[in-house]
Amino acid sequence: MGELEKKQGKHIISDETIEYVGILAKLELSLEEKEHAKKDMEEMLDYIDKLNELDTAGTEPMSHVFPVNNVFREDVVTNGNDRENMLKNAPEVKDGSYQAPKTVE
Amino acid sequence: MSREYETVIGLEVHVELATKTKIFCGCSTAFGGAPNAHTCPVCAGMPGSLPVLNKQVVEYAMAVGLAANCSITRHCKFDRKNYFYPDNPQNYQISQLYLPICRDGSVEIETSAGKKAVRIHEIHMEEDAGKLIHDERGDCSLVDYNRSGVPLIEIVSEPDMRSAEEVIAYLEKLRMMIQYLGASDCKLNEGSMRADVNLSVREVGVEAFGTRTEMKNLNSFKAIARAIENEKNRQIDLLEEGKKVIQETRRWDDLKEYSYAMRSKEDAQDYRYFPEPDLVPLVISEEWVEEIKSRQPEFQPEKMERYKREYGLPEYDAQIITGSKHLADLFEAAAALCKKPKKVSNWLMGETIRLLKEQDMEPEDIRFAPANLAKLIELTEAGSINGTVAKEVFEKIFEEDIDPAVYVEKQGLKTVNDAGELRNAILQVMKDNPKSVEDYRNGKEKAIGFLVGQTMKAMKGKANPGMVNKILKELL
Repeated sequence: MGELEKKQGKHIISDETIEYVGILAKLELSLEEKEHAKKDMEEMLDYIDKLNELDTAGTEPMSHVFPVNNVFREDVVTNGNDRENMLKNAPEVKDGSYQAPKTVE
Repeated sequence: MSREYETVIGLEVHVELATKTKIFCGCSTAFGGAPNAHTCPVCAGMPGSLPVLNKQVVEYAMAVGLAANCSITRHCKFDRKNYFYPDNPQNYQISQLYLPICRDGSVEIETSAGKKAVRIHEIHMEEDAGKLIHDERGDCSLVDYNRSGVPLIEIVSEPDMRSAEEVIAYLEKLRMMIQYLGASDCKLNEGSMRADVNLSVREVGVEAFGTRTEMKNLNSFKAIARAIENEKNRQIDLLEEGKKVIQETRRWDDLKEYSYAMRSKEDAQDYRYFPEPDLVPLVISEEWVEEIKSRQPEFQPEKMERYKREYGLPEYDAQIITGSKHLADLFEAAAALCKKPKKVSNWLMGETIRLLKEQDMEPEDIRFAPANLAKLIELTEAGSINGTVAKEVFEKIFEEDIDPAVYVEKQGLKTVNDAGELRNAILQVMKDNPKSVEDYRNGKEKAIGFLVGQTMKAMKGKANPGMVNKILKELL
């Protein structure tokens, strides 16, 4: 993906970009949905531009919204074999495994 | 005249950590369970489940980083790497891109060309993916998430290696270091250590790197050496033909000894990393780093020096035994029990290594208990069994970890030290072999060897050879 396109200071999302984003997100969008998504993304990027106007020099980058660090688990097995319940969530099951469409390398 | 090329190699090494549980949930990491027996909503990627970091993973990663002379990142976090593949139930892998836990290290390797430092770019923590089994008959893939969420560290080197020999030396060094730390068993054939080889070639004297390829599916040191040789030649041939090397990921087929480009994932390289919102940042204090440092074990170089000093082992023996953490542990435990370190060393350096080679095993595959080796040495030292029987019993220990005292008793292998019994056997042998007796008496001293042999045979190998010699000489 190249430089972001702009017209009169506003972001323009091209057809190629929305197509590419759709592929990455594994989404099949109708023409109408594409137009809608383009508009949403343009507005989001314009809003980012707005935020970029703020002077953030001297502000520490925030790595998380919660002011909490170092939440740990001890290395102790707490889960048993719950395969039967786990596989209830699978659309298709075979031989104790999730069945997926054939993947080839 | 053909041009001269130089091979430039960097490695990405994945190591599965030896934790009891996965990186973000309390599921067991035990190898070989029934498919999906070790899974829960977190590692199966169910919506709404939340990861919680396993503290031991952080400590192992720090320990490896410190051993590899890295600096530890004090403010550290996880990132999401997004991609779609059925082995990855969340459609993202939790990894570290921006702030990996360890950076800028180096390890020293030694090859026939001498010593050299290989720089470590970074070490980061991440989770393993599940396993896909391709069901040929059903035309579908079966997914087992037992490995999903098993903790990994990825050790990324700088492109500092120039040959397969250097690559192997580097991997052996890493493996030994990590085994000494107890952070992983590092078995290439079981996938607890995996190396991806990034390789490019350039003309000697040229400074810019050539286009590199990444080679995957390397399951042994031999496969790595073969793949490097093959890829180097493939790239040189391309350049010699005026073609270009394409940057791609290739898969090595060790049976057919060639590699092929994996399906080009044109857009898959766009992983859209972003900070993992479900995990809070990791802040590593000076005290924590110091604590990990203070817990670092004695590594191979120090252990080797100590073996020479404390046990009087020769340099070579000390080097071989300390070359494997498992062998070193076995040595120390057995030596502590029987108080005969030299004898223990002899059994390890001799019979043990011989049997390992014969059966194509690694020292890590040794199953016998140090106590059984110690007992065998005690039996031999006490003269209860002779050297020939001891070797036979040792093979049993090596194969089945038997208790030698019980075994010797049951099989009736005890050395016969009874002078009367030996005398009777010898007299019979002399009677049966008058020619040899004659020869000896006529000054052919070698003949005694034959008579000793016959006596041992008559006693089914259990006679005390020293006594047999002595009695024979008396009778002759």
